[in-house]
Amino acid sequence: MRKTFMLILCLCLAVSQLLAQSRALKGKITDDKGNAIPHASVLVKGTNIGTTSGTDGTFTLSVPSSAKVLVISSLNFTAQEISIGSKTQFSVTLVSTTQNLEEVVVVGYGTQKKAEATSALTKVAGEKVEQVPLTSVDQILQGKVAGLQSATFSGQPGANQQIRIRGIGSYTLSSQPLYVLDGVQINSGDLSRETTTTNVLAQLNPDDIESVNVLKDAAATAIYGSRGSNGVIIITTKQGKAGKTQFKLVAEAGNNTHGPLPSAGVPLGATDWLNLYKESYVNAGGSAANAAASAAVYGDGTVNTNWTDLVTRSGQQQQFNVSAQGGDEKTTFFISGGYFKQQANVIGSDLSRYSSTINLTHHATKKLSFSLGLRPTYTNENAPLSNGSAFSNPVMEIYFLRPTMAAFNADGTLNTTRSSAQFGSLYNPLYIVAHDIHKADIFSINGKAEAKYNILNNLTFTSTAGLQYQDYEEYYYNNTVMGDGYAANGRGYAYYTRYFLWDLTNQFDYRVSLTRNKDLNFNATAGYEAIQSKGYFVSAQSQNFPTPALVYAATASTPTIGSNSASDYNFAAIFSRAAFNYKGKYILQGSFRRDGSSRFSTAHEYGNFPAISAAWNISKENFFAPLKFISDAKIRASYGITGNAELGNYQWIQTFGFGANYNSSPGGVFNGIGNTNLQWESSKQTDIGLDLTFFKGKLNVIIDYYKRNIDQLIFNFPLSQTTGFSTITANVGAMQNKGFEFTVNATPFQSKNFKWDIGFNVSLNKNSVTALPPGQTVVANGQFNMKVGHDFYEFYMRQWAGVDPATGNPLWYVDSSMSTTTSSYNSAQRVYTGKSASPKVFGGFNNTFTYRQFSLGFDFYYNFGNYVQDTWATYLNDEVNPTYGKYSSALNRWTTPGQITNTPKLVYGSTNFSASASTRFLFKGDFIRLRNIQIGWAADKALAQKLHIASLSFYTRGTNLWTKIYDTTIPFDPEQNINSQSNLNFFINKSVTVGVVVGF
Amino acid sequence: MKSKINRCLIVVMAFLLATSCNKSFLTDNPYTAVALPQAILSESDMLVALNGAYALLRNTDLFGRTLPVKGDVMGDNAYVTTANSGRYITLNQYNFNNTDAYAAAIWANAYVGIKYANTIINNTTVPSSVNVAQYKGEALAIRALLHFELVRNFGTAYTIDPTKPGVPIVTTYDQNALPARSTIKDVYTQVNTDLTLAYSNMTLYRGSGYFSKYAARALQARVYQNQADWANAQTAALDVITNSGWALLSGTAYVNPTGSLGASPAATTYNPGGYWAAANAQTTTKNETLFEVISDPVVNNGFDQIGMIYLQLGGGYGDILGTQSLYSLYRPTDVRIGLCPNAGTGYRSGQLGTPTYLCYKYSNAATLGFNYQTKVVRLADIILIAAEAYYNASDYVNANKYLNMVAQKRDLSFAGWADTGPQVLEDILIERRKELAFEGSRFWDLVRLQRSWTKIINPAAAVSTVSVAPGNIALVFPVPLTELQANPNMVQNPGY
Repeated sequence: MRKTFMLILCLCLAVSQLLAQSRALKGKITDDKGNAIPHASVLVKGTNIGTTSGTDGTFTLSVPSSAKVLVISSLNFTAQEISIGSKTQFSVTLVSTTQNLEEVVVVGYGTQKKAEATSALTKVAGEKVEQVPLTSVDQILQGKVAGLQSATFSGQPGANQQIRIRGIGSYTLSSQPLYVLDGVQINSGDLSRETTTTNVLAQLNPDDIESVNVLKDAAATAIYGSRGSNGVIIITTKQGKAGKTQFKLVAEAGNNTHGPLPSAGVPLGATDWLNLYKESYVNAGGSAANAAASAAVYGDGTVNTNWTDLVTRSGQQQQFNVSAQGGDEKTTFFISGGYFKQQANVIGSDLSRYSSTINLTHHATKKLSFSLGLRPTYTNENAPLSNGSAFSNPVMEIYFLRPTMAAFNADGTLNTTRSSAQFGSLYNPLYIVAHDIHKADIFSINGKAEAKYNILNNLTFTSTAGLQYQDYEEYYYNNTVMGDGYAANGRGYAYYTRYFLWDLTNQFDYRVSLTRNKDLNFNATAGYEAIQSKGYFVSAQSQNFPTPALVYAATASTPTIGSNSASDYNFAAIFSRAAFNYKGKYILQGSFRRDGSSRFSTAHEYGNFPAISAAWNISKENFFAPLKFISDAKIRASYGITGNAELGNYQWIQTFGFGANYNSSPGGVFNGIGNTNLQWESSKQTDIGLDLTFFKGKLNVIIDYYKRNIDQLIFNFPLSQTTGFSTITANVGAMQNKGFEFTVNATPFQSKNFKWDIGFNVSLNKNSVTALPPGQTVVANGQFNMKVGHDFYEFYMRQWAGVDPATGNPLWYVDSSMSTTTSSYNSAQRVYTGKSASPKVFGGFNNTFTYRQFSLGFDFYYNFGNYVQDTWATYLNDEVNPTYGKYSSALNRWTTPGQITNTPKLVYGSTNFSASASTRFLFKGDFIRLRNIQIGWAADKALAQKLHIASLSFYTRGTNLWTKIYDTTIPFDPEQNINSQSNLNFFINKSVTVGVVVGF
Repeated sequence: MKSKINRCLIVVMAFLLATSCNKSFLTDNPYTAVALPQAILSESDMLVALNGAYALLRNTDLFGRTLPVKGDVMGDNAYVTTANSGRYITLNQYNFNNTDAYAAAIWANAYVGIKYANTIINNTTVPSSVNVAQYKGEALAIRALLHFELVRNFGTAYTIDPTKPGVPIVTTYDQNALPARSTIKDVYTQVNTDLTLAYSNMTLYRGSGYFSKYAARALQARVYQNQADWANAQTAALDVITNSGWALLSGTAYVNPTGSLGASPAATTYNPGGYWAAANAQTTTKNETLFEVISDPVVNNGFDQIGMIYLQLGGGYGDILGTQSLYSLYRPTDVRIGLCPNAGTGYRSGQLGTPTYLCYKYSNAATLGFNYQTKVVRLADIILIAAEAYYNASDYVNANKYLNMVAQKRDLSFAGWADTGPQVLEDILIERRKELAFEGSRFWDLVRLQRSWTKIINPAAAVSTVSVAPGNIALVFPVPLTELQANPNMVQNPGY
């Protein structure tokens, strides 16, 4: 190689000497990573003498001796001028425009220079998204964005993720943010109908993501109008970059296990279970002999089944991604294919994803360009009922089954005895998982076609047509032998669901300097958008199957459901944004959207959503010059109005619905109360922020304070049920979220070989209900009765006062004064406990150390100040339901007078409500979790070249490997869903994987 | 080239803007519902609406399960076993608070049914005809049935004090209404008004799954019985017995068991046979049942069907068992014992050592289907009401005559009742208990007669019981807290 090079060099020199009059220049053009840039333009400045580089980036050009300067330019790179001097050999490195010092941020319907941005938004770069081996991008956001709460509460791969940006945004409507995928306002969340949980975002390969931008304040979200109230998450996929075709291969494999159950929540073993059973039987007044006889029915302790071990497993995880990107200044492309498989730590639960992406851009002329993006994806999810008390939920059976029951018969076959001394109404989860089917096959295409035309230098027209096609084929089969299908001799459900959404946008972008000296600039964006989503549903159900071997409904004798229906919604809007920018110091921006939706009556179908914001780049002021250590300082302020229209389609119409059939004849009923006065919920948000950069970018600090007043909150306003309706959906009530967000990103240390990066963010949010429906002082909301001045998720329940040491009876406080106790549950009042299900503080903390080729990164997620309720306590404590399994905490039960304990005397079939909802079953939700740790090694350039590749790295990473739980009495993982109520969910996966990434 | 593209773009843009700005773009109509004013425009529309009202009666918390279960579990016929699915515990334990789910569901669903009935009764669009009169009559009977169930569940017995608060009477739809409770007396008056009008409106018999003229009259007999209005009860009952054309079945035509219960539920081959094994409601015949709520093979409550709460095998919960005191009433020659067979002492865990008395009145449970009916009004009940009316007129001869009309159909070797004086009433009550067991009737007999009794919560372990006497708070359901919170004019029952 070297020899060849020397030879060429010599030749070049020789040639140059031969042609003294017109010199021949040679060179190679590369990007900052050393990749050749083909088709770059090489021009002698001031002339039309020029050439373009070859595919290997090299060029040869004869220039007159008068030539002084070369101008080298290429698409997506900043043009460079090089003085020729006496040199004939050039090595030119072009700087990519995307890495310009002027960092660009993604905003609604466009991008802005970071310095000109006036809103609170957080970008999570694609590299960060790739780093975590989780199924969906919304899981990955946890701990990475201040103000964004993300609850990973189920270990089911592909589970829907609950995201809250700046607190709970609604009472009845969705509080989930709006997802915009490559400019398309997609249908997100769980669109399945039969599967316990699915997630649209789980169809997206995180490796295809260029960036995720979280828009938080009204300045950023108001341009999304009636759908922006809960924040907007803009996901942008990778686009090709001109230059040599770059391939990337990722292979990763590992396994998923579950962490140890908290000691208080470990189910009792057989001996303990039998002893406590007998003890409670005697406590109920039974004789010891009867107690022994009754217990003996369930076993003698020789069978001691650890259901946890049987139901959990080490699940495999695999991932293979391959992508290629490249192109020239005319056409660029990014294509990728990915395979992802995750088996959960619970039997029967897995997800496979086959994803692909094609993103093409072509510049037809200097003015016209168009692009096409398509992402067909197929996802297969097997999801046993994975939460709640469904008897076929394997995790539920871990706790509910007695340890004295055998999973297997003596001959090794699965035990399916349904007698009440055996499984009774419960199921053998091993049998269910082996013989039931519960799957979703999801085929989806996301895509976008865009044409952009530069009408003038500073005026662009862009027309975009985006689509989202979601196709769910779900099949649910209950076997004939044991479980939900037994009574019906097998049951099969086939559900087909299709959502087709299109999003059409036409917009103009205009930019102009209003003064000659270009001090005052103006830019504006205005456009029109129309969105239509059509949902189509076919459902079939049949029962009575002839043979367990055949599971499809065609073999069953009795069809029980055969229906199809559809549901649509439309949005149409005009939107605009305009900004004045004076010397880059003062920026004033306004945005406005007029939004129309089919979800409201004609009188209220349109709403207006304005926002105004300003930024002051104070560091550009002269008086700031002495403060050299501050590189950038910006003060932001914004105010705006956004909406939430995520209520049911057609809900405003007073309807007479069908399907209330009787005696095989059609029946219809007046079941839609309707409300023609219904409007969107309106959120008025104020945000004040400060962006600071110190030491030339080594330390970044972002501070935000926000206040979000949500008015016209949509409530299911309680009616007198004598009307025949329980509630009417109406705009009443109000809520407020206010809080602080604080983000620090820093590089405390950097030398030639070693680099240390730190990221830390903290979010504090305070929610309070500020108004309730007229005439209502309290609105019942399960365990969270709402009251003005109280947190939306403040637990409202009886207060536990411990166990009476004299009698072993449970005690509760009579009222909020906590002065007197009672052993009568019904005599104790439910009170506002001051304990909320929402955390007071949460955030992330991450570190990355890089030493030469090695790197070590770890991300912590922390959550403090909330309480978590054990909603299934009544079944698993105190022998209220003596035939179910028990938590180990039962061993602390009261046995002797004078004993101080928190577990009351065990009474068989107890009726004293000791295990019913009270603060006894509220646990502190505080935890710190090592969400991700990654150790990597990357080949240096020399080695890579030796291997004829561009890059090579190996890594091993682990998710959820370590968790610090503060409440030692909590029987389950404190990370539960947003309302902090345990629901026997699948355990969170503890994954360890190793991977390799090769670029060439 | 450029100008061409420009022109092209302008055309495309104009097209897109023009098509998308279309005003109707934001008008979406539902695919599976119609706007209310377009709902009932014809006779056939009205029939569809009527089916919807009947379907509501099938609701799990009305006649689909809770109402019939309550009448036995809260009486002395049945109890909830220790190993249970968590259902009906509050009823079994006589332990309610104002958020009790069953009380709340009965309240809410009954008024939903009344709303459905009102959309038919108050319809003025469809021109009158024989069918329309029939349909409106059936809707009136449904409205009466639901008001009647509401007033006796949420108010004290009429026989105790009819001036006490009953329930709101709703005859028109008003979403803003915040009605106060009418007196018990007023509610009964409304019920009787509706039933009288229903009786005169109806001319057709559409099968036992629908109200007919005499089903309405029979229901009225029960209403009068609850009011202790014995003269009217007698008239109504005799009208049904004499004129309706309904007849009782006798002996094995009624119950005719085959198979055996086996040693465990899994070994069961038992089928009660006879009338009670019929899967379908009768369409033209007039045997036994005047009105029943149908669950067809397609539309039913699935596992929440009433049979599943009694069924031991299969996917049944089997939570509720009969009491010994009920079982011991049946003579061995009484075919009805086949509806309450004794499965022995080892049949159900949590109840070991206590005999397991099963219920086979929801017989298709034996064949693993959900298509069986809940009997709401049966002729035997009406005959026994006639007997009770004669007893109250001190006409013991006729009382015994009607009493034996039922008893001797069920036990062909039974010599017949022949007591006089107060014992006749006791005989009638025994016969009612035996005849109507697991049909939700027993509790109401005890309540209206202001009896005291021992309710068995559970006969296992230490026998736990509750002594029920008039005035027990749990005899009257609490008005749901949600109603009290939403409706300032509502008052709660004492004790909640």
